[in-house]
Amino acid sequence: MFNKYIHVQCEEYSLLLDIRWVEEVINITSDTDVSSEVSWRKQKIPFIDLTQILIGHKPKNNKHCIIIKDDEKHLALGVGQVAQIQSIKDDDFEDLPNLDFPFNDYFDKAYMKDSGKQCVYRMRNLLQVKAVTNKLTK
Amino acid sequence: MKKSSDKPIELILFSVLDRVFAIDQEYLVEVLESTVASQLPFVPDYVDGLINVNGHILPQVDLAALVFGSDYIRPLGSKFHTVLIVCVEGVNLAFRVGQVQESATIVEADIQKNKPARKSKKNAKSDKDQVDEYSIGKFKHNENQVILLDADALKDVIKANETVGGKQGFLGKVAEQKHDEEKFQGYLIVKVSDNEYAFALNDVYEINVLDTIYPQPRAPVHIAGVSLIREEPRLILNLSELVGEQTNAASAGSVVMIQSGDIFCGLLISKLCGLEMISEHQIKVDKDKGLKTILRGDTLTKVIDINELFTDKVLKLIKPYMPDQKAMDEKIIIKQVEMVRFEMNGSAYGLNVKKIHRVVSDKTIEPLLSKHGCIMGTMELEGRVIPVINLYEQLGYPAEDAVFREYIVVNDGENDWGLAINETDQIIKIDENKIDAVNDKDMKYVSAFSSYNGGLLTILNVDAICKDNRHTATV
Repeated sequence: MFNKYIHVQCEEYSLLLDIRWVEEVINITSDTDVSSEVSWRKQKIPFIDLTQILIGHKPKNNKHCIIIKDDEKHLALGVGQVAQIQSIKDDDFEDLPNLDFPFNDYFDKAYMKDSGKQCVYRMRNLLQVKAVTNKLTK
Repeated sequence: MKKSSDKPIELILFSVLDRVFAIDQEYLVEVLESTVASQLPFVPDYVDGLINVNGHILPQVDLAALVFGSDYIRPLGSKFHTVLIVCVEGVNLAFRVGQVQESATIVEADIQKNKPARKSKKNAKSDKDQVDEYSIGKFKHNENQVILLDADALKDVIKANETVGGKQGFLGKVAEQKHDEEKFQGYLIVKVSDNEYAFALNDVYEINVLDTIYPQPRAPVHIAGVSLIREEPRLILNLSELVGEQTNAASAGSVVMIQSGDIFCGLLISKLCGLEMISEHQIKVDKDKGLKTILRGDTLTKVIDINELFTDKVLKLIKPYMPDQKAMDEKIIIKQVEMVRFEMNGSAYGLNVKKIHRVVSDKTIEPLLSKHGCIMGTMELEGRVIPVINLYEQLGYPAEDAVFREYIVVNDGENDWGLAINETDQIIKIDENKIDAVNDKDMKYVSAFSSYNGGLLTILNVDAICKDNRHTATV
């Protein structure tokens, strides 16, 4: 079965987000106020700079913000750039090595792109990840 | 390794920095040329990332960083161009090393084993020399001291994931099927009259909401007016007219600023609807008609090609009104130009004082027997009779209810003329470099634009105004 994924680039990391969780993709401009919350559709929702989390320092330029959802909850993710949409079969994903490092909180599978030269990580829905939601409630 | 002391051990030797290491060939699966690993976040420095080896996804470890610590200094000229694929208890690992050298055969007795020491914490950051932790001991080979790696210890660097169904390790396979790939493009959705249109985001310079758009006298319907944007006069066009919709006059609104060649202007829209990411499958191109549309839901929205908006016909109409984009060069002396400022129909106008002879009031205007251009009559000045131009009418404003109190006497190089206005405001000084001249070729009655006190100042071309009426003057 094919599922659609938004392919996102966060500096050197290529990520896939299940499109069923994605509510909207908005541009981040110099006027966009991205602190711990962003204004979206007349409400304040928590914001996470995903690029900063992955690379460990403030990114040069996040161009897009992806609004993801889980039930009635929403979360804004700052990412480098939304590149494309891909349809990928479930069977084409592979397990990631269990290295006892926090990346397993964020990714659950890997997909080999460009004839296997590049590994693209499938994101978990961060609204379902305790390690992430605990930080939001602090 | 558990072998009897005299059983030969077949080893493969390789370099790591300036040291020679060995590993039991029993564990060696493959030797490869080094490739770029896909980076993994949140891992220690000695983990390069993930690589694809014959369709299998493996973590790659920098052996030098693992055993010598992440602060190791790489000697000049050292290279890491070999990857050893090692399999321990069914777990495949990739180790990036220097160069594979040769094979060697030893026995256990040849090995000078390490002294037992407390193992450091698993997966701890490798910030100091941990050669002993990952090796069994050393042996001599061809005058070199070789470090024998402990394969069991290496296995503990990275744990395998055993999934349901007995799948062991982290083996992956390369997808062979081709997948549909779509790319997103950003489109700005706007409303023009009652219909929605789209701009490719790359074509949009910026979007502004304007409080005031100053209409221009006798301007074609394509031109909504001129507005000040960050104190710079910008030409504002009616996008409705350019796309064939009904145009309603507007003195304010949202504009999409675009740049096409040397055209930089604003396109007045009815409403800004939003921004959407459109996949390439939603884009339809009719090459015969030169039409590009995007499918949004069950609606087709036309995409505006800004290069096709400005046909030769349109350019001819708008260029005379296009302010110059003056570069702000380094100023040494700022020249100022004196202007007489006055208002007409709610807009501010200026006349260069050099063109003005004097300003008079309370004059009796003798009407002409028959109509000539915009000449409303004549007046007596210093013993001479000069024609008086109704400036309201000349600039296309309704003149029926105009009240004329003052007359600006100008000279066009040949004759004196009176320009009938309501009243002058004041004499102002404007920096010369803040005056944006319009295209000189097809100029009508406007020679330049500027800003004064936060408002637009339209500077009139006296010569053009007088010239249009010259052939009718019979005094």
